[in-house]
Amino acid sequence: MWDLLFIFITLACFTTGVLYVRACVRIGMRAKGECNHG
Amino acid sequence: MTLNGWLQIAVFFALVLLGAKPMGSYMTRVFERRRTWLDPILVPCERILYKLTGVDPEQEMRWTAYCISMLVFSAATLLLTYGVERLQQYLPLNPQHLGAVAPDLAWNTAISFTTNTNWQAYTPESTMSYLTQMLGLATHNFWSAAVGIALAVAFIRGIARREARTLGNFWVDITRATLWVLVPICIVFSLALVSQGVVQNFHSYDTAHLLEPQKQTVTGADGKTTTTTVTTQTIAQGPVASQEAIKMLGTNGGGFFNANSAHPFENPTPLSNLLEMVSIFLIPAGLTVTLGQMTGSPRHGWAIFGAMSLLWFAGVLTCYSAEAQPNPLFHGVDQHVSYLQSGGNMEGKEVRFGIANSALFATTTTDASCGAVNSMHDSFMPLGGMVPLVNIMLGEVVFGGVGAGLYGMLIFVIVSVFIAGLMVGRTPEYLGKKIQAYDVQLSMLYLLIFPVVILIFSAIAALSPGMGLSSLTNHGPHGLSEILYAYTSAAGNNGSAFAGLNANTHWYNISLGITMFMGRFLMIVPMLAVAGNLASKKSVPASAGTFPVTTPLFAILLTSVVLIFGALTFFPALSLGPILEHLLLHAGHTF
Repeated sequence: MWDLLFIFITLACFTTGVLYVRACVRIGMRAKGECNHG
Repeated sequence: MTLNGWLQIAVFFALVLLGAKPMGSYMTRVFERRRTWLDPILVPCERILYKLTGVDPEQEMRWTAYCISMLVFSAATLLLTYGVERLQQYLPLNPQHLGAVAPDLAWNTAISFTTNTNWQAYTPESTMSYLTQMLGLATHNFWSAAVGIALAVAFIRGIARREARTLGNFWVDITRATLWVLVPICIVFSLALVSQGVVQNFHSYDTAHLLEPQKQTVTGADGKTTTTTVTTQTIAQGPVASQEAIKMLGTNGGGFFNANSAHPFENPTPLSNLLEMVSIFLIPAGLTVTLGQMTGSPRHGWAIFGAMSLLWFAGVLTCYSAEAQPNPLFHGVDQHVSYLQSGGNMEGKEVRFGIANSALFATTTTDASCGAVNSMHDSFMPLGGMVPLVNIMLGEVVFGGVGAGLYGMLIFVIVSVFIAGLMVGRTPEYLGKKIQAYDVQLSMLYLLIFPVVILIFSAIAALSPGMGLSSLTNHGPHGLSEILYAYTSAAGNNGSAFAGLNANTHWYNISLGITMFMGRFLMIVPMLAVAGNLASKKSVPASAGTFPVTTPLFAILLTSVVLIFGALTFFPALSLGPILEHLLLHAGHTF
């Protein structure tokens, strides 16, 4: 049970990392005026 | 302070200086895939590895692909380590028959070694089997260090390349960092440590009979005291030398024994102590030379080396002078240096290392993100103990962790160049690249994540009697320093500890695990984004208004930016911890 929880937390952390990569790309697109979504 | 002490510190720095250029030039050859003398042995190994894993070494990656590869690799190896820890009782090389590591501790340790932190909330010799130490932990010492070097090289390529979309291939970079840089040096270094008396075996622990039986009095939870007579001592041993080498060279810091490099089986002689300290700085110092060579501006690399050296010297001077002073509360005790004693504050220090080598080790291990210790930082005088804390708070950019120190410093370089540009009203440039809004935004994101994580978690722990405060040995400002040090060490991926905090609780295992993750990966992502953006830029020729990044003035500006950033961010917390403790100590209060 605990093992499943920690595996889940690990995967959640790294998924957040991947989403964070995407966020940094979007910040870049905004800074360069390539994104029109606010 | 003594002349002898300063001479030893000077010898240490001379060795780092002498080693930087050959190490840096060698790494340049390795990462530019030029011929090296190890190629006849290692190129076939490299080819086999790529064939087995399906890696195309010629395929270049954008920063996003590079970053996601790094995240996938780290997640997979983290889960592998977690599995080994949890299943160690069923696996071989466990002569002490140690049971499974508790889930929260196993997770904390797996994150700790994946992130190059090596925070250890456990006693290794009574918790981890030999297989766990080797397959779960020592492998991470190689991998996490290789990842750090790869990331630094990717950042250097970002600066060096013009109008490029890619930063290299992550799998090739970690393979070459491991095979060409870490493994060969560790083999030689391990043998050197064995020659000094560091143990290397798979024996079960020995039992020694004490010449003088000792009486031990223990107070139980019910308040009753029981006295037992101890007649034997367990002598822990194992494959130490092989782990010790990469522990220092890879700036990992996780000891085979709980006492770390204060243990005579890990660090037996003054020579082994010197070698261990030099190996902490060897690769980080070499990477400044690699930066200069790969960007075509060797003087820029040396300017960064100079800024790092200035900060290192300031730390050593402060720590050494604080520890060499007598404790003002010990009246009538001879604490002066003589031929018979080191003098000063020797609490928590090994007699064979003395004040100078303890202060130098503490400064060096926290300038880099190593975290190995040969003395207990908790026992330092308040200002002496503040030096390791401040070193980590500055982002461990003073040579720093392998790779992490350099890319951290390069983020500060971007901020410094930006500030210099603001002063003269020009668009800042860095080695022919215009520094624009995106670069500064992400550099600030990189710099701000670090204090946010440290201060928020420290605040929660300091306000939670049942979670954070119950683990403290000391109260008052010293207790705050213990909490602050734990989260700073975790976020900085250092791993050293103020010894007074019992961190093996659910709260600390989980919160420090999350802190280590954020301090590593949430800083790497914006750093790689900056690298990717720099690589895509055109090169502009230097003009009369370009701020030169090869001069002593630049080194001083960079040093100032690092210090001002760290001071502004952390001074309030420091003033409630070690600074207040220093003032109260002189007023006669201890904690």
